[in-house]
Amino acid sequence: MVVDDNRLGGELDAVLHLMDRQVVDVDGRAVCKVDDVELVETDAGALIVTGLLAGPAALVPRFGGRLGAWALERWRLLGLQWADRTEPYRIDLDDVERLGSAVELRRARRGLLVKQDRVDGGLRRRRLNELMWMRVHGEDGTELGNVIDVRVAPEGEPEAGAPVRVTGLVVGRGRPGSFLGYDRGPDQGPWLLNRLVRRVHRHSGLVGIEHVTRIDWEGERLTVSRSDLDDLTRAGAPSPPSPRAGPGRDTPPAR
Amino acid sequence: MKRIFAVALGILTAIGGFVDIGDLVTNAQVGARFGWSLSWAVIVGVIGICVFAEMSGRVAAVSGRATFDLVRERLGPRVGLLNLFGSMGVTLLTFIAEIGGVALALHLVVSVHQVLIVPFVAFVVWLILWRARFSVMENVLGLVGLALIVFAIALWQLGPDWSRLTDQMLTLDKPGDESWGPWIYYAVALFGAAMTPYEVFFFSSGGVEERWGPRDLRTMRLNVFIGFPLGGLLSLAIAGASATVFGPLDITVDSLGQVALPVAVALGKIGLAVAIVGFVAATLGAACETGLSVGYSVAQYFGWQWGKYVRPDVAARFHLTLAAVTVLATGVLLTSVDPILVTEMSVVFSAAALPLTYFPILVVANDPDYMGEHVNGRLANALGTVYLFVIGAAAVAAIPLLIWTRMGA
Amino acid sequence: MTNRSGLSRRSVLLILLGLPAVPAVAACSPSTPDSDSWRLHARRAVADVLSNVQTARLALEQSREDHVLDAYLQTVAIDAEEAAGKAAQTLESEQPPRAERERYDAVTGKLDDATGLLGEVRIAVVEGRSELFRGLVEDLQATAGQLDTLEKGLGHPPRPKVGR
Repeated sequence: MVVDDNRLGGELDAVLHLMDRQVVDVDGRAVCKVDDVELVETDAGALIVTGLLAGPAALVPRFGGRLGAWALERWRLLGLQWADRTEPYRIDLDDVERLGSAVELRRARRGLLVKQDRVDGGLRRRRLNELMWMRVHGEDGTELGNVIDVRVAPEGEPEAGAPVRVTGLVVGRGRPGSFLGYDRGPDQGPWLLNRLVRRVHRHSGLVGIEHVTRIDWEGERLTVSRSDLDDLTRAGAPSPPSPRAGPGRDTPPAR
Repeated sequence: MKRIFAVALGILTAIGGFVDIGDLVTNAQVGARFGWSLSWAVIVGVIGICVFAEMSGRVAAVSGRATFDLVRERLGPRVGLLNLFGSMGVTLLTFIAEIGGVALALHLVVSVHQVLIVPFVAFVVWLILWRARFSVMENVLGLVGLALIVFAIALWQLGPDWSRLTDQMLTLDKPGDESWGPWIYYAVALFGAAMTPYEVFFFSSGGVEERWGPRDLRTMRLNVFIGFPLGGLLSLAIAGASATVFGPLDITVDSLGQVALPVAVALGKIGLAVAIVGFVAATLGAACETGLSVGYSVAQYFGWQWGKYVRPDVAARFHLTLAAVTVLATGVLLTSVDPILVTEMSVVFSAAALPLTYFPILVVANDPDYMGEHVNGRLANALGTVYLFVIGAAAVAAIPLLIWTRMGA
Repeated sequence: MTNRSGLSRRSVLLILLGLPAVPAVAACSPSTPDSDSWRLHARRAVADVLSNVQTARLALEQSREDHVLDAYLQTVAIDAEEAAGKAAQTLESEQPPRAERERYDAVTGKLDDATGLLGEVRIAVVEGRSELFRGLVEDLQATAGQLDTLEKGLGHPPRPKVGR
């Protein structure tokens, strides 16, 4: 049964499979929800998933766009005296044992949640939420849509502590997570809903991370070297061969 | 005997959905004014809640995740928060009303002033929520609540015109002296009452409380297919008894005392006493169900540990939430607000919460990641889709109807 | 989130802006022209009081057959008196149109009698004076009949006064 597999062992869609999931500790006790996911931008320009974020400082910006920004400012003002008011709590990805219908940790929950450290040398910390609201443009300026999901996969054996990288973006119209999963499982019922969702999202597609040429974090824009999108496939399914700009995942995006 | 306890969860859930304080009065009112001509709304509601309770029970048994967990996961934090407000609106208002309802039911036999009974009842409810084992709560309140079957016995004893009643039930017609506006309004109200969101929150969370696993699917289904139809039956019995006694006299029902009168007519003091015991148990059960559902919804949205299956100190925030809403309920009730009016107001929130609650259930019940081989079959999907439309229609119609007919006047 | 349920930020804003429309719609719900509205309110008030009179009568009858508990009977009697009183008072405080002045007096008079009778019932019940029940049942029966006639009479507009 699929429910027994550890999703983190393979390719997965961060918004669909990871975001807003319940986090439980080794004793089965509820800890928190995955309010956001911590990404680290390496010097080579790759994005690596390093931890899970929780707490109001992580949840409030998720309300999106201007509402989220306004609410975050209210949150900050309500606790001006605290230095790390807008810092979320963090769980290291190494503490995650398994990802099934919930995120299962290998530690007990007592004293688990710690505030995110200050930025340390060379590592730029980002949040998945920042990627999720970006508009995607081709280099020639064509608007391809918004980022609605982020495909990640471990580079090698997860037990050996292999980093989980962002390998692609799901781009389309609508909000992050709009698919509810219907794009990835073509035969998922109920039939009417399936057809409806797929029709609404018929222009959505996949873009490999290697095609991303520029990420404008402040301006919430992302530029890719393509003007069209690959067909969507289910995370973890063998993908059809697609034209690649370079010799695979290790190629840093051109800056 | 043990087998009866196995379905106590389903029975208690149904009691909170079909014969809580609001429904006790509404069913009697509908019976007095419309006879059984609105029983189709109850039947449609019973089928609907069976379909979705089975789905949410299955999800809880297979994945260990209760319904509100899924709402945020599938709809996102923003829409999830909207749903939280909507369903909390219904559930909280109903909780307040139920505590008031227990006080009303006790007042039928004990002449103590409301101001004294309400804090006492609230304290008892809180004590149950905090201390009593989940299984004890569901067994006692669920089964004692079944005392309301006395209404079915009373109906039989009253010797009504069965052909006329069944005629009303089968033809989609209304009595001559009523207009279509209130008829449709009550149809929507009865349907909405049968499918209130807190029923699936409570049922699925209760399944997790009972530690259901994939082996328990058969038990879960027994709970659904015995509990909810039983609830519908109680609804119809109350309406029928009311129709037989009050209909010819043109009496309209607006107090709990009137609801029990047909039983007194048919079965005398003993029947009346049993009915009042049933009232107390049913409203107390509904109070526990709605109170717990408030706690479940909030905890499952934010990811806190919840449940009575762990020690209170392990689920501290959950129990703090329960204590807080109990105090709030006491405060509201001491302003002498009419509990029955409060439940009628909660229909407004129900309108928004219904579609947002049942949609994620339908989606997740189909997700093989969650359910493995236990995904929905064709029948469940067909019924689920159809009911999503019906729920949508009811949700859209509820508030305009409420205003247009001035609450069914 | 999919646009399926249309709950984007814009939609939330529209819903919030639309809320003031709710009381506007309420004001526009099918209300009758002024001359009829008093008549309809009167009819409703009479029906409410009639319902409570019948309830009290039924409860007393059941008490005479020893079918009800004492505390229960008290609650029913008190509730009936309260509800009837409220209905009568709401009507009395409403200004009738000129054409209905006569009927207003007749109706409010009858309603006062009825609520007074229900008060007597309540007192008898609370004091446990069950020997009075039979007489009260008869009085309630008579009152119910009168209220019923009154209600039917309110089913049509006032008859114009024929010259005196």
